[in-house]
Formats: sequence, C-alpha cells, structure tokens
Amino acid sequence: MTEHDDEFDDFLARRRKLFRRPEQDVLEPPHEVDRLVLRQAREAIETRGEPREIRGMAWGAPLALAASLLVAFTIFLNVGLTKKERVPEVKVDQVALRRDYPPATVVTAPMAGTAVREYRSDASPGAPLPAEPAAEAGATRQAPEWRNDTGTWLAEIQRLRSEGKSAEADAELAEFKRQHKAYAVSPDR
Amino acid sequence: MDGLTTSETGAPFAHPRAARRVESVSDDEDAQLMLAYARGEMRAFETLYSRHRAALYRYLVRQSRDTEIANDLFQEVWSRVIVNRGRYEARAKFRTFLFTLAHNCFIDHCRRMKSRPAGTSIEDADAADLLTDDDARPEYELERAENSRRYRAALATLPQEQRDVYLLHEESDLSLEEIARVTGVGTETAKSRLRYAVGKLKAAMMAEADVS
Repeated sequence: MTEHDDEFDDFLARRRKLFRRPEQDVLEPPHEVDRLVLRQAREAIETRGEPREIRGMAWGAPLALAASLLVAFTIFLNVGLTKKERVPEVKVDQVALRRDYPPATVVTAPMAGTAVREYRSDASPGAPLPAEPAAEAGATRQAPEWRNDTGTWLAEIQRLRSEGKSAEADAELAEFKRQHKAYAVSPDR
Repeated sequence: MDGLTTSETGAPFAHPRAARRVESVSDDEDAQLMLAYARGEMRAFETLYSRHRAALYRYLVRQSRDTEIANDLFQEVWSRVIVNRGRYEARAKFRTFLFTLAHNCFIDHCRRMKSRPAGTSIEDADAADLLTDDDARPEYELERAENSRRYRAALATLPQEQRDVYLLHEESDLSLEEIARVTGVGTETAKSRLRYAVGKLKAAMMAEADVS
C-alpha cells in the first residue's frame, strides 16, 4: 500500500485532515432564513398540513367508497320499491267493486228496464265477475211484461188475488218483495 | 437548547460553535426528534434544525458557489423535510435523509439553471462572515481569508460528481456507503470519486501555497 493510499484511508476514517478549512465555522445560514424555516415548520404542524392528510387517505378512500356504495344501493332500492308500489289505475268498475252492497247475484231492475249487475261486497277487486246462472238468465228473458213497472206489477198481483189465484198472487208478491227490499221490510207490509 | 433561541422569541441562532457541538449527537436521537416533530412537537424540530443547519448550509454553498442560490436551496431542503415529515421512518438516518434531499435539490437546481445566475459571490459572503468576528486579530483574519480563497479555488476545479462526493463526506459526516446511496452510485464509484477529489484538492492547495 502506498503512502497516498494510507493517507486516503486516514482521510476516509476521519483520522486526518488533508488541508485546513478555516471558514467552516463561520459559514452559517442567514438569520432571516432561519426564521423562515422555523416559521414554516411551525405553521405546518399548527395547520395540520399534508402528512396528516396523507395519513387520513389510508382510511378515507375506503370510507368514501363504502359511503358511495351505500348511497347508490339506497337509491336503487327506493327506485325499485317505488315501481312495485305504484298505485293502480283507477277505473269505474274498480270503484264499484268497493261499494258495500248486500249479497246479490243478478237481478232485473224493473224501473230502469235494464239489467243491473251487482257484486258481492266481499269479492276481491281484481277477481273476475261471477258467471250468471243460466236459469236466472232465462228467467230474466221470460219475465212477464207487468214486472217492468211497479204499479202494473202490484195491480197484476191484486188481479190474481181477486180472481182467486192466491198461489200465483203469493208467488208474484214474493218475487216482488225479493226485488224490492224496501217494500219487503216496510213495517206495514 | 444550546446555540438556539426558541421560536417563541423569534430571535436568531446565537453562535455557530453551539450548533457545531450538537452535531455530534447520535443518529438515533435525530430520528426520534424527527418522529416527535411529525407528531407535532415544534421543539423537536428546533433541536434538529440547530444540529444540521450549518453543515447543510456549507454543503449547499460549496456546491452552488453562490450564497443566494444556497439560501434558496437551503429553504427548499428544509421545506421538503417539513412536508415529508409523515413519511420519515426511524430506520433511515436523518442525516442521510437530509442530505439526500439536499443532493436532489441541487441536482434539480442544476437542471433548471444551465448557467450560474448572478448573485452574492461566495467571496463576498466569506469576507462578510470574517468581518463579523470582533475578537479575531487582523493578521489571523488575513491568513484565514487567503486559506479560504485557495480552498474555494481548488474546489471549483473539481468536476461536479467529485465535488459532490467530497462535500458530502466533509459536511455531512456520512459514511462512504451512505454517500453512495445519496448520490445513487455504487460504493466503489463513490470511493473512486472521493479519491480523485482529494488528490486534486491537495495538489491544488499545495500549488497555490507554493505560488503565494
């Protein structure tokens, strides 16, 4: 090993100074620079600057993602439920279904001269209408003409009774009472 | 804290010798101080700053050969320390961390500035520093100024890579392995650069001395 190598190794190991560096003790940063650096350092920790924000990002991103998913899921559910619970379109016959009529099948309205269909009050709104019994349909078609008018019907009953046809008169009266409930329950009848 | 007046008073650092004295404390303590600052303790930063400000400043002044540039770079380096306080890990030496930032700042500066801008020359700065010492004798100051001039002239003749390695060795007290890590080269390359730098400096200083 040469002398130069020894010298260099001593220099590396900081055992020897190769030359004087006299100015190193007086070369200092200006005081103004010191103040600026210290002020920046103080402001950084007082305002909770960038590093803390970066730390927050570690849990902030998953939290933001979870919140977004939750909001999206809620919106999806709301939209889906709203569609399912949509109010059905209101129709005249659907309103009629809700009216509380006494149990009845199909009768012929003597005053209007047309058949009026009444439905049971306990029938479900969407259920199909019950089929008319064939016998009743036939009876409606074969009903005597006097039944179209109440007065005529009562006069016919009176006529049958005066002719001694009590059974027929009673049958007509029973039918009359069946079709005219108010008359049937009247206390003087 | 020796040599350091607190940030509360806003007074400047008192005397360079005090700052030099605390530079010898352990690297572990530096790491703990940096972690304490990251937790929000300003006093920890003040201590850390007082320990390393002078060495860092010398490194930057010698590298840039311009006190204004050195001032800017000095602030930039500490600014990066402050901003990156949360990322600092205790397993890395603070000095290595600090001088890596300083090296990178200087490299960035060289890329930004192709030519050396006008500013306060290092000769002026050194002369001003010398004149502030009231206790020094005039003949000693003259000799010191001459020695300083020779040293600067010798440093100026070094290639950038060699000057970088030499200044890191002289100012940061980093080991050869750490210097290699800071400069991004292999240990043998760093050692070779340092050997050339020392040889050239020695030769230049002796030649100057012979001439004078």
